[in-house]
Order: sequence, then structure tokens, then C-alpha cells
Amino acid sequence: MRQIRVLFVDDEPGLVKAVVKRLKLRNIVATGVTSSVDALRKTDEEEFDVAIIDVRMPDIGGLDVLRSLRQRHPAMEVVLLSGHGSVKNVEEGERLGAFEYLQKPVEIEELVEVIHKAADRRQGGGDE
Amino acid sequence: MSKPDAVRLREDGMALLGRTIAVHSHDVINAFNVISEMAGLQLDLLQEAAGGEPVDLVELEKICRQIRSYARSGDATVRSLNWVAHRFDDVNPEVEVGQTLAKAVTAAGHLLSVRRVSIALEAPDEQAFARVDPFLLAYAILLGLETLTFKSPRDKTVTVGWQPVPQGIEIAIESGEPVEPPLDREAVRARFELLLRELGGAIETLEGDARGERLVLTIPASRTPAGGVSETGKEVR
Repeated sequence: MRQIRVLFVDDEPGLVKAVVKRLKLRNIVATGVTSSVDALRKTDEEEFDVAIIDVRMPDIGGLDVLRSLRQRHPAMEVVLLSGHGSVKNVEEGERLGAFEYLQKPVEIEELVEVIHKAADRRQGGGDE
Repeated sequence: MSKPDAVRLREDGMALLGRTIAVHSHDVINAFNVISEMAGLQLDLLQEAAGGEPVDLVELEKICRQIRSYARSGDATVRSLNWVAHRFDDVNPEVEVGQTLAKAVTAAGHLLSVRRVSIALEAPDEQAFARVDPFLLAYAILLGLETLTFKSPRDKTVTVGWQPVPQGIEIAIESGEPVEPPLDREAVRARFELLLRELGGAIETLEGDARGERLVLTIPASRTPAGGVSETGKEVR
């Protein structure tokens, strides 16, 4: 069975490092970046099944990254993460086609479950 | 100050307080999230070790140090917010300028963290005192920093410095490079007008050159390093 490839995007390097390591320990091929620009570059260079993106990013906001990814890589599933759940952001994320909107802190097992579900949906929808 | 001005200033102050609480609490939540995730990683590694995998002591030690570093960062953020909250205890208390600016710069650093600029504080090795509302002073510093970092590139450094001058305390905010778009000096003066009326200071916007822009705020000192006493800013030795 092919391993799931995940891109984790958050501007906090410590968080990115810890989450990426924890996902790897759970047999997920995880890559982390700390800026939206790097996230867009990385998704153009490599193929990912799921991108997990923090909504509050300093350079380009997570919702704008989602918008861009929908156009550039429509088959990739996107999970949004936020430190505080703004109803407006949740609705906008849903409207733009985010697979899920999770509020931090997320238990790693919950995150892994959502990643698996998102990857299943992507496989169902076919690869890029 | 006319009533509409007072209302506007109060509203601006409340808006700033709201932003301050929002950004500081976000930073604390952020520190908690990282600590939680790193503690989770420690647990993962310990569970692996319990299952027979070799223990990576170097990695565990590194994680412990990072947890401590984020705990300290969260603590500093809460202390900064606590300082802001206590600014409302007294009306125009006498404050030590260097310490107040250091706290104001820390608070502004949180508010401007999204712009990813570095703020450096340059202060003389001496004490000076002013009878000002520290919250308004912090507000003026933030406005100055915002003005000079608008649409600035990442990792730009802005410097806040102060020194005693015959007129009182001169506080200068300098951008290390030209400001884009170029400063509209009249708009900057208008933006500061209301605050300065309350602080009792004056603002000067110096012409930018290749080294950038400089905003200078001069507030009256109540006591100076040499021991002079000045309520008017004219009697400083």
C-alpha cells in the first residue's frame, strides 16, 4: 500500500518539526514548511495527497493558499488548522472546498484519522 | 481636548487594547500548542523505547530544551500583557523612560509579529523619567513602527532609541532602509496629532535617505539623568 504524502504548513518552526516527526512515526510521509510561499513552491515541486495549512500565516493567509491550491492542484485535499475557530473562516474554508477545519491543539490520533479520510477521498477522486 | 477628540482617542485606545489582548493571547496559545506537541513527541519516543527501540537521548534532551524555551516565551508574553493591563492603574504616573520603552517595544513586537520585522531597542546606560500615560506612549511607538514597516519586506530591522535632550526626552524610530511607499509626512503628522496633544510631545519627520526614514518624538522629562527637574521641558540641565 502506498504511503500517504502530507505537507504540513505552519509559521511556527517548533510546531512543524514536532508534528512532522510524529506523523513520520505513524508511517506518514510528512514534509513541513513554515511559509505559504514555500508551501506553494513545494506543492509545485512534489506531489502531496493532503496539505494541512494553518489559517493564520504571516505572508499569505491559509485561505488564500487554499484558493491557490484549488486551482493549481485540484485533486489535493486540504485540511485547515486554526488556533481560534472563526465562524467566517470555517464557512469560507468549506465554501472553498477544504476537507476539514480543525482547531488547535489537535490530538495527533485525530489528525492522523482526518489525514487518512482525506487521502481516501483523494484516491476516490483519482490522482492529478 | 475637545470631547470628540477624547472619544476618538478612547476608541483608538480600546481598539489597541483589543488588538494587544488578541495578539498576545494568540502568542500564548501558540506557545502552549508547541509545548503540547513536543510533549506528545516525547511520549511517542518513550513509547517506542518501551517497545524495544533504542532511546535517542540527544533527541529527548533537545526536545526538553525546546519545551523550556517555549515555556519561557509564553511566560514573557503573559508578562508583557500584564504590563499593558497595569498601565491603567494610575493617571499619568511618573515612568522610567528606558524601562517603559522596552516594555512598549516588546508589546509592539507581538502586535507586528505578523510583519516579521525585527525591532531593536537602543538605549543609553542611564535613567530618565517622564510623567506620561505609558499606554499612550506605547501607542505612539506602535504607530511609529507601523508607519515605518508598512508593506516592508520580511526581516527588516527597525530601531527605537531614546536620549535626553534639552527639550526633554527624544525618542527616535528609524527604519534601516527606505520606506515603501514613501512616507506622506503630512499624513504622519496628522496621525500623531491627537496622541501628541495628550503626551505633550512633538513629532518631527526627517527626510528619508538611502538609510531610511526617521520619526522623532520629543516628550517633556520630569527628571533627567543629571538630576534636573523639568515639568515644562525648559529647565533641563
